[in-house]
Amino acid sequence: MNSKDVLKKLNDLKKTMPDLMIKELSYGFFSTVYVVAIETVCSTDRINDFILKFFGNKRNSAKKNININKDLQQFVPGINKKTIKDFDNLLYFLFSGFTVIIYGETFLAFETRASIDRGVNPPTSEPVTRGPKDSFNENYNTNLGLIRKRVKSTNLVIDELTVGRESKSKVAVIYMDNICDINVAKRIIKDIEDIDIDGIFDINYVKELIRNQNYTFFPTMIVSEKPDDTCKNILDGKIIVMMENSPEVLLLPTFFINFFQNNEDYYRKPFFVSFVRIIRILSFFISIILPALFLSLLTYDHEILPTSLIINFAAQRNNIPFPTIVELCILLFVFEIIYEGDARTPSSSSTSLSILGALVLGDAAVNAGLISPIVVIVVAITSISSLLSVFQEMQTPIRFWRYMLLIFVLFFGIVGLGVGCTLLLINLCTIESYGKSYLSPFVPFDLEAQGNAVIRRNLRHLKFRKSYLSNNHVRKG
Amino acid sequence: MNKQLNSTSFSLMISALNKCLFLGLLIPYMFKISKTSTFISVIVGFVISLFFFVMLLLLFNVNSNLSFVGKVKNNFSKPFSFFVTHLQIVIVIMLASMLLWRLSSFATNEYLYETPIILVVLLISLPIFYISVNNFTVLCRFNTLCFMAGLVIIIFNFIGLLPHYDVNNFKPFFTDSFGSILNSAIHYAVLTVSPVFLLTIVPKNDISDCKSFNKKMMISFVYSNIMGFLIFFTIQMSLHIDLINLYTYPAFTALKIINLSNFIDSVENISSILWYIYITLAVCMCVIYAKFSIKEFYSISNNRYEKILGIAIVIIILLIVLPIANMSYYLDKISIMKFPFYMLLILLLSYLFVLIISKLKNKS
Amino acid sequence: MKKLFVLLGCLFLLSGCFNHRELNDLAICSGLGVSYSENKYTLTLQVVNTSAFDAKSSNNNASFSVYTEEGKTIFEAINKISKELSKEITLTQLKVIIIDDSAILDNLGSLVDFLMNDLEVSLNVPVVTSLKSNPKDVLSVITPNNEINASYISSLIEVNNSKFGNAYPIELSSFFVDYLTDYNNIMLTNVELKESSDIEDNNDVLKNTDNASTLYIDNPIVFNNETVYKLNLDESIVLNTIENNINDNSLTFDCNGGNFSIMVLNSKFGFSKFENNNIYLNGNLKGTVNEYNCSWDLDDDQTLVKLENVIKNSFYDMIDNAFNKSKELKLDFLEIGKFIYNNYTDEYKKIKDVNISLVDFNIVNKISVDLTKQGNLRGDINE
Repeated sequence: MNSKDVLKKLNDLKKTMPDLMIKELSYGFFSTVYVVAIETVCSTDRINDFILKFFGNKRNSAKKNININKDLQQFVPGINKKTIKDFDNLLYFLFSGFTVIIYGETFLAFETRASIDRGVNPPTSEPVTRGPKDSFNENYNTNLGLIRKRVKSTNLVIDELTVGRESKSKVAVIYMDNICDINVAKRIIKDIEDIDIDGIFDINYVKELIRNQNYTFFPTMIVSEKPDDTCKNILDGKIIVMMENSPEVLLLPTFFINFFQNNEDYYRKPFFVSFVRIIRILSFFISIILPALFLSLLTYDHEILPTSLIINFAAQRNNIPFPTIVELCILLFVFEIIYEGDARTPSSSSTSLSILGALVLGDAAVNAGLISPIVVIVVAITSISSLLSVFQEMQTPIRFWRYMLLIFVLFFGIVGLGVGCTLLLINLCTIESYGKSYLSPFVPFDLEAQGNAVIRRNLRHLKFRKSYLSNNHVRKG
Repeated sequence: MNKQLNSTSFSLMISALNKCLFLGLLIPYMFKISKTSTFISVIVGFVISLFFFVMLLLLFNVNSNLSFVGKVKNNFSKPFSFFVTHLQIVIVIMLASMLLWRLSSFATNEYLYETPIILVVLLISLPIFYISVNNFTVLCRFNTLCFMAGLVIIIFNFIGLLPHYDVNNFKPFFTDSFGSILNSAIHYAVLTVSPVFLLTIVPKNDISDCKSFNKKMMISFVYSNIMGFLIFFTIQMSLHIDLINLYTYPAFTALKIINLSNFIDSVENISSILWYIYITLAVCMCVIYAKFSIKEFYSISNNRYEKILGIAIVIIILLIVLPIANMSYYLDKISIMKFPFYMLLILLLSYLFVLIISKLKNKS
Repeated sequence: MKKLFVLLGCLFLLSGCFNHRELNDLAICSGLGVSYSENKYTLTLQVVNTSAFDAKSSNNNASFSVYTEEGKTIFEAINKISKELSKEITLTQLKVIIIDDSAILDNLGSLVDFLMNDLEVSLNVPVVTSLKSNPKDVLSVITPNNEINASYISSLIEVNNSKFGNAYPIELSSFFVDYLTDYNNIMLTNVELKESSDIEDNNDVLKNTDNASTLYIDNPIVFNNETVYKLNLDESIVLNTIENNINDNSLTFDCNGGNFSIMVLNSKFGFSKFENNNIYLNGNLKGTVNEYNCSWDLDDDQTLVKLENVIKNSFYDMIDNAFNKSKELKLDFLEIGKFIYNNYTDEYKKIKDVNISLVDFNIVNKISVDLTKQGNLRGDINE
């Protein structure tokens, strides 16, 4: 690479890139040093204060012997110095906020990145009541720093990859090499390297592109915004995928039980936490099965209900013009509308929307004789149970399976419910997350890992890592 | 089949295979033959079946890196291995058809009595289709989930029927000769242990912890027979023997009596999911056995052909069941027991024959 | 994959929901009554009237209505009733079955066949009979707080069974067993209509306060071939005692100068041996004194022993009277046949019919009574 060719190309680029700055400095006798930077991604204060001032000071000092190469290699202020290999590499550093210094055959890049991020804020997508309230942001170094300051270990391995032909985004795979399963880590790295796309802008693109071929609606990857959660998972044996410009990280491999656990569970008493986890799982299954069970009890298998209940339901439904399935569908549809509307409107108008919803559903429909009160109660319990899921991705399988089970029950009664539940369970059993069963530690059953799956034991008793995540069962407690 | 199985989940498969032939076949037959001494014949049958089970454990140890078809191909000449493998596949498919027919008749009689039986057969075969395109690991995981549900249901049924315990239902003791007890005990032994031999399709070396394999299989077998004994005991303690002999499905009728505090009444519809679970698992095991036998015998390695083979086997089973689905008048005859008994006896003897000859060959 | 979905779609669309029944299209039957005369069955169905339970409307309708029809078979009678009903009959919530004695003595087989084949009828339904009135009248009575008649009857039986000791509740499963076995006679609970000429219009019951109940539980009834016999109070107490059904019941006995009543805490009775035509009955009774009106001093230690002897002798007398009556009528209502069949099967085979062979048997009683405490009062208030 010749500096004259490089400068010529850079001058050509200036026509389409008005923010490209090229400064010519004369340094020593008959030598010119060029300082190149892109204004929009660099911090011009830093360039002025450190790099240009250095050159200015050198110019003013009355030294006769100036070894320009040595000065450039050793004394230019900036600890993060990189050597540039070719023109594409130079452009990459320029776009990443580095200042490039060109002298003859020497091309050096110094980091002078501007902070165009928002700083470390509390997490927005997961509410936090206890524990640290910092979350990742769009700055890659900040995120890495938040992890480093919690896991101060040399075993923390960071593999950096570049993804995207035009976006050239930096993606890092982070794991502890003495704990996690190295084969899984290698597989993830290979999958990321195989991505062939123009550009990715968020970690959710990576999530989509390395997804396994599991034919299911259940989510198989989880993202997190909290550094304490992430570090806990790193020490358990999970592998983190982090991307610049993305405030979330990907935790792999993911299991079914992870969607019902929260890192705040470690900041509260074990008994309370076990109770809450059981309620979460029960509410998940209730929100799938309850409408179908209700429909089958009312239309196909009346003998299961006690007499007083059946007479009560029949009395309520005396003058209702619709069959039960139509009532259920209408109410479920209206609840979906309210739910989506609530999620999309800004918080200032969401209160009036929920009041409207309550009025429409609760009083008016029942009084008008369109819908019986028991159906309102059933659908309300269903919807509230589905909102209890900690993660948004679980809404998809809940919705799909709820309507599938309703269709099965509509045609075949409780036999249909049995067959539908069987299909749901088989679907859960076929999912594999990087070679391990999705339903670990229940299936295959692991007695020791039950201490931290649904029921959480005291931290003093949780001595060994989960065997389905790491081969290294070394005492961690 | 890579090393994802551990011996605990493998041994839990015994529970469903053991009890798949109870509903409508073994229970009415045993009560008819040995009347009030049925629970004794269960114990005697268990002792006889232990002997066969020990043979099964020995069979696992012969050529432990091969499945059963591999063992046959290894130790016998080609025409003989062809004969044995295909005989077993035919018997297994007949067993699966019979179980599917039995379950659909049960569902049609008790739940959906106006729906044509063909639709019920198609409905029940949906999970079987789903599992037939997957492999044994998925079936094992599904079985572990169902095992826990089955345990809860058996205990719930037992506790629900405990207030209706009547000692007079067990009297008079020993009305019939010992011959009838032996008769029903042999039927119990053959019908509960033969489906367990289907597990030999998995080579022993594929299971991750082989050292505790024998111990866990034995524990699981004993536990499963204890649950079977509990089922027989529960039915007998709550219903009079004359009433049991009158109904086609005494296991279902016994559950009608459960009445806890006047609120939980008539839950037999939900408690009978136990039988649905066991029979579905057994049919899926038969399908996977047939599929992997054909795959190993003809050395098919393409993944796509495997899935098509699985679906084809289920379609063959449906083609056998659908024409005979309407013949419900066979259900009540006790002579219906002859067909499965002799079929499973031939299956059992084929396994034992292969075991004995392989052991003799390995010695010499 | 696509073909699988097409198959699924066909499966669902062609199935047509054959068994689908909306809740409002059902006529929920809570009571069933059968009687038989002149080769015809008379069937009475008590159907719940769900509009009376509507919380919003304030009508004062009766909570049920009764339909009666005749037919040569039971199915024909049901078909005729269906002509009057706008809804489909379901027997899943049946609470009581009333069988008239005419139906039991003639042609019980087809009724039992009908009840056994019906998949929906629960096996815990109480079966009652009524000697003096017919099923239609019993099922048409309106109860004081407008609850369903059948629930009222089944609660009557339950309460009576747990408190007073003369009901003999029979569930449908036991009824079937009695019918199928030849060593047991059919015994049923008895529900009677209190005859009152004041009630002309049934609707006035809700406004009348003095004639609160018109149904009551009477002593059980035994059937055998052509004989129908209603037990008296002592015999029904003996029957319940042998069946170990008198826990928490109150029994009254005479003593000199008065009477006293005890509450039974725990009783264990049973036939123990049968040899040389002698049936040995052993029993043990534990109780407390509830009400005391005798002339003996209750503070005295010996009084309790005297009371125990009184009870023992009363029981001996009651059992002997009951046994003699059963010998006289050639009717086994103390379940002796069941005991012999269950424990002495060889001897049972020699006896052709227990009812007739009762004449040769003798009962040998051995009862012990423990009165554990004197009740709530420490002393005798009559002192």
